Amino acid sequence: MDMEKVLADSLEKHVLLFTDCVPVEGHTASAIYDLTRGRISTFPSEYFPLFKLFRTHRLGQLLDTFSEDDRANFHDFLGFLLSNEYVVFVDELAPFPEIPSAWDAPCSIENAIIDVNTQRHDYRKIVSELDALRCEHLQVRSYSPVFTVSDLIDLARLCRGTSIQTLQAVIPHDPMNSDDDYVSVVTSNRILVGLIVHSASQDRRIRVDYGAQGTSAKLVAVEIEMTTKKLESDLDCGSITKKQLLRPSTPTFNELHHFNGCLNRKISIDENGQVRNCPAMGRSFGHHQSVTLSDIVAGPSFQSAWRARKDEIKVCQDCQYRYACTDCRAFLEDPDSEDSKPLKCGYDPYTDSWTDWRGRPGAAATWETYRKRRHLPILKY
Amino acid sequence: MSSDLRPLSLPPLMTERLPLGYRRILVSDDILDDEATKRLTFEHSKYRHVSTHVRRPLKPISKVEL
Repeated sequence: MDMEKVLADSLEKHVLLFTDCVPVEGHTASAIYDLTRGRISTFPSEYFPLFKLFRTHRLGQLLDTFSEDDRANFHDFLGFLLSNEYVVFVDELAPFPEIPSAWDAPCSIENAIIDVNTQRHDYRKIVSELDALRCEHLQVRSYSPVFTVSDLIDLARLCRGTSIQTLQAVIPHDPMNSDDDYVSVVTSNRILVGLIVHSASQDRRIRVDYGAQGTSAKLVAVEIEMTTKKLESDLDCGSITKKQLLRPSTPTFNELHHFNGCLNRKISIDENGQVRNCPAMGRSFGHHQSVTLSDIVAGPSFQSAWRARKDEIKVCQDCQYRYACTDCRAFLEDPDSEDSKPLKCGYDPYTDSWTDWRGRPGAAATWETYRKRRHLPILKY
Repeated sequence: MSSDLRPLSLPPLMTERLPLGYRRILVSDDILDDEATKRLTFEHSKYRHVSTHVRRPLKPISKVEL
């Protein structure tokens, strides 16, 4: 691309950042979220003020304000924006209003977690009450053989005909089960869109094609993930890595502007049957057999956790990935501060670098605090 | 060879238990090339024209370390 010629032809025009490509400022690196193509590009934050200037200056006016060095940098940055199709030259900006940032969902609860360890729960009651809340997605996580494949089949049957559209399961491997058993449960229960089998003998993936072949199979395939790692408790949750970042989309981007990415419209039953925002969070709202989920969800104390926005969390508010990160409020870097960043996040927005969170100063001691807390009596407010 | 489009005959498909999604395929001798012949008869499974939408959550429900 001959940038000089491109600029010379567009001096009287505005640089329009497409309205579905949203810049997000970070401390060291900033990002553009392409909400339609579902990708995030990052760039040095020094360039971020340009987006404000794009709205007030035509290209020619903008170039006049730059020194020779700045102009070369500007060429590079504009080349980056043009080659990724984030911007286009237009005569006027007015016909391109911003996409509204409002968010809502046609359900009181969008997703739920059921944890199982040493005791079974009243799945029929739970599913029925989730249906009343129009819950759309359910995940069951089992840490012990108490929850079997036949329990999973029963749970999938209970979900049929309810508001629950997808069911995900994380279950321990049972040596009595063959691959065919796992494939069978997936193929016969289409509501099951994810199955992770932990404590397996080897790491591998089994692809289930639902009987379709060729290119169409990609549309309906489900992979069963077998892993040798062991899931022991809710302490094994809350990990935030680069691969955990959401593929940006308008609904999730807007939701994370206003609400917490993990807890918003979520309800959980922990391994002891206690109702919580998240199984690993300390606050219990009662045992699921003695309360009604809709009563709990209607309470302001339950919903307050939904509004823990990334913009109000220390460190996260300076991170360019804050609208693609689903956060964790259960394990915090500073357990005594509600607006502390997640303990298990390995990203440092001040150095723009990813590291293992366990290596951070104080992380090991904080983690030990959480491990000890878990054995304290259940907190009930 | 005819240039008129004519509907694909359904009874043979139903006999073979092919889904009625095949109904929308119209056949003209003019456009029935080798590839189209294969498409209709050999390569594609009987589910080829069945559209299945599998809903997935937009975001992870939990972030287990596995």
